[in-house]
Amino acid sequence: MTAPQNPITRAIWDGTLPIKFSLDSTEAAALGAKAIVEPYFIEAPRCSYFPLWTSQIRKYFVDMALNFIGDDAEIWYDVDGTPLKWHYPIGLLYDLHTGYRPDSNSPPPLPWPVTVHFKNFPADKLIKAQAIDATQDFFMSMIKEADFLRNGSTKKVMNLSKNDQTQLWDGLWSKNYDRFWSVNYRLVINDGQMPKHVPMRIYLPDNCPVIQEPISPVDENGNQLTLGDVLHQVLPELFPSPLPSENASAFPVPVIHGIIPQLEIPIVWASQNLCYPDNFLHIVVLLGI
Amino acid sequence: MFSPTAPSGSAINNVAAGNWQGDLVVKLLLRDRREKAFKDFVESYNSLVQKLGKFADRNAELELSEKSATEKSASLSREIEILKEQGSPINQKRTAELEQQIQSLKEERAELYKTQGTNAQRLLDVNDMLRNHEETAKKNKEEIQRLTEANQTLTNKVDLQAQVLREKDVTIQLLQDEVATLQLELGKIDERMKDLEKENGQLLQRWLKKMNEEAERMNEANLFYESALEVHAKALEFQSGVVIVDKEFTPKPVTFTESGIGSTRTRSRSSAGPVIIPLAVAKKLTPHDGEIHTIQSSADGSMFATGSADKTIKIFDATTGQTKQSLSGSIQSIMHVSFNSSNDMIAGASNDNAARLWHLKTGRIRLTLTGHVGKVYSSRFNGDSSKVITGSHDRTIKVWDLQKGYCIRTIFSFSSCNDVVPLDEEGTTLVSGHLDNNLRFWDVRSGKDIKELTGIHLGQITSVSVSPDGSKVLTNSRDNTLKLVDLRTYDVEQTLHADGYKTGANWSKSCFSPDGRYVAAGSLDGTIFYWNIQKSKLEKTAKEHNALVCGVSWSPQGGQVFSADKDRTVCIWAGGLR
Repeated sequence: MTAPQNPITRAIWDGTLPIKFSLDSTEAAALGAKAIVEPYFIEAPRCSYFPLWTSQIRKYFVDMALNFIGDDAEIWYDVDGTPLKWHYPIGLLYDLHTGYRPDSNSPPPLPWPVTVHFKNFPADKLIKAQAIDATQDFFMSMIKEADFLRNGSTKKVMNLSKNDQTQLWDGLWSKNYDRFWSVNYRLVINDGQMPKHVPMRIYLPDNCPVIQEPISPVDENGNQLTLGDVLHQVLPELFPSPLPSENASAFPVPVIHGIIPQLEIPIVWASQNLCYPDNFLHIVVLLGI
Repeated sequence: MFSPTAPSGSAINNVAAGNWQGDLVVKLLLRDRREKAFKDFVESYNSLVQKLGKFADRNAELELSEKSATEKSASLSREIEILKEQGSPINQKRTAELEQQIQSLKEERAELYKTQGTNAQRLLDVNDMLRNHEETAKKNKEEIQRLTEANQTLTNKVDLQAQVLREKDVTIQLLQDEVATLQLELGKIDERMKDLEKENGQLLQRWLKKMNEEAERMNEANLFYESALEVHAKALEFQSGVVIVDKEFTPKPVTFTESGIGSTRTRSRSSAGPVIIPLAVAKKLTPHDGEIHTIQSSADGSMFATGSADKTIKIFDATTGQTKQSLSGSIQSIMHVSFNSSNDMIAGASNDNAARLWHLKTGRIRLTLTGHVGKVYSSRFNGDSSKVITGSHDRTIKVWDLQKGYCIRTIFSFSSCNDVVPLDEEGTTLVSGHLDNNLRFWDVRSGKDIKELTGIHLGQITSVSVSPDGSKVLTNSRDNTLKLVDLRTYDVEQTLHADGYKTGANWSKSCFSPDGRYVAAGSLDGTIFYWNIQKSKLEKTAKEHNALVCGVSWSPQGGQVFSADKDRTVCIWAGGLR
């Protein structure tokens, strides 16, 4: 199937972030860097994952006379002391860890300063894994979970040919929109059927646990729910009503892909068009200013 | 454009539907403008980083090459140094070669010095040797000088000797000539001698012939004489009808004047005149308590003795038959008795391995001859009573000297001896008869056997007797024959046997008649057989005994015969009834 040419999905796919990778100063000396090592800048896609960039980052730092001979899995990232979960998309991590409200007037923290660590992997906070394969496995399992939530079984994903399955992953890391969306479209559209549940996760700041509830896209009457409805349903204290309020900046807002979507968006449409490549709606809720 | 398949519920939413999509697009644009502001920077940065990387690699390469270059230059400079010091490898080789050459040349020179040294040494040695040789040569020359002189003297001597030899040759020649002549003479003399010998032989033959004729005449005369005697005796018999016992018969040869032949036939001393066979029993005695083994007449015929198993010897008067003496002392039975020639001693051989000599006058034992280790079967005196000869079943014959009183000769006789008799006066030659059927002749002086006659008998020889004229030996044997052996030729002259004659015991003794014409022997059944040995036939038999006759003894006077049997009976035979 040909990929849909939707400007929204296209824009979401193309989104990138400049990230500045700095070496931890104590580690630099330990790892044999003689002079100060300049930080490394990359333009990372929002939809990508950190492990996909680890080898490139590593190459740069080793070229800069860093004496690192360990495994890629030893390398981990942190922002302001908090280790970054490598199985989250980069865009999600940025939104979550910077907590930048797009509707604020202050400049965004760009490039995003990330500290690269080559030692002392915090095994208590992060899951250590093989670099590229683990990420792929996790990505695919997320897609299967999404399918399960939608249909009550993973039949659809499993019935995809091996070729299609690998095409999803290949499309992602090679940044090929058409390759990815030609397969993903089928999953997302779900043969035009209403999904049983909407695959979405809600993230709150300050290390709150991730909220994932089975959310039905239709209410008891069969009416389609909006984003606001869902948020109100899940977090009634933060979203007293499903409708937007006037003084939006004082209230918590959902952020996805670095934008604040309107609460009127039907949840199903959002699930189909605003989802990350892993078919989930990762919504970060930021509190009011 | 996507649109939800189910119709949206809220009308407000429918109105705002198109709105929120556009709103989203705007927001996304804003976001991009914000976030992609650094894109160019980052791209330039990345390209710079790449270039930097390339430069760094290049730098590393250059450093490496520079390092290798410096190393190379360092090694090259080192080589140059080395070359400067030692010259090029070619030069080095050259110098090395030259040095080697120098080394080898030095060694050669050293060797040459050494050889020079050894040569000098050798030269000295050779000089010494040369000196020594010259000395020896001088000595040899002197030696040669001496030897030549000696040679000269010797040659002179040789010449002298040759001369002498020549002279000697001449003498030899002369002598040879003489020898030749002498030999001729000798030859002549030999011839003469041969002729003389021939003559001598002829003469001898004629003389022998003469002697033989004489002897024949003599024999004829003897025969005639004997026949005359017979006729005479027969005539006497016929006349008186009584057997005459010639007691007073003197031992002198009678010459017949009728025939005119002098009787020169030799006879033994004890030969009697014509003897007549006594056939009448004069006396019959039973003197002993045990078996009688032996009976013997004395040398003068006045008495006779018997030896018995009752261990005694009894002496009897020949005429009356009365027991004169009984001699005891023997421990076992007496096997043989014999008188000595002077009739004063008697020897008794006993089964107690000893022979004893008794004095007849006193009746006491004079000597006991012990030494045999077997039964003594025979004991005899020699002619002059100086010795006693005993024969024993211990296979020895002993000669005892009566003066000394002990055995002077022991002869090993190979077989148990049953009877032994001296052949001559002194007793130097003996004849013995043995268990092994052989007759043996012994020389006492040497102790060796002179002759052994085997095969003459088929049974053991029980008695040996010498004829009165000493020319024959009579042997009696268990093969029931008697044989006469000629002492000169050792031939068996006659064999005497008869029907009914059986030698009864191993010790049965036979005897000659005093005139040597008859032989008497006793048989198993008690009959006494008389053979005429001149005619070589059985003459008479006399039966009186009822048991086997152990011995027969003819009185030297000729008129009596004494016989004894196993059953203790003694018979005295005379010419006729008294």
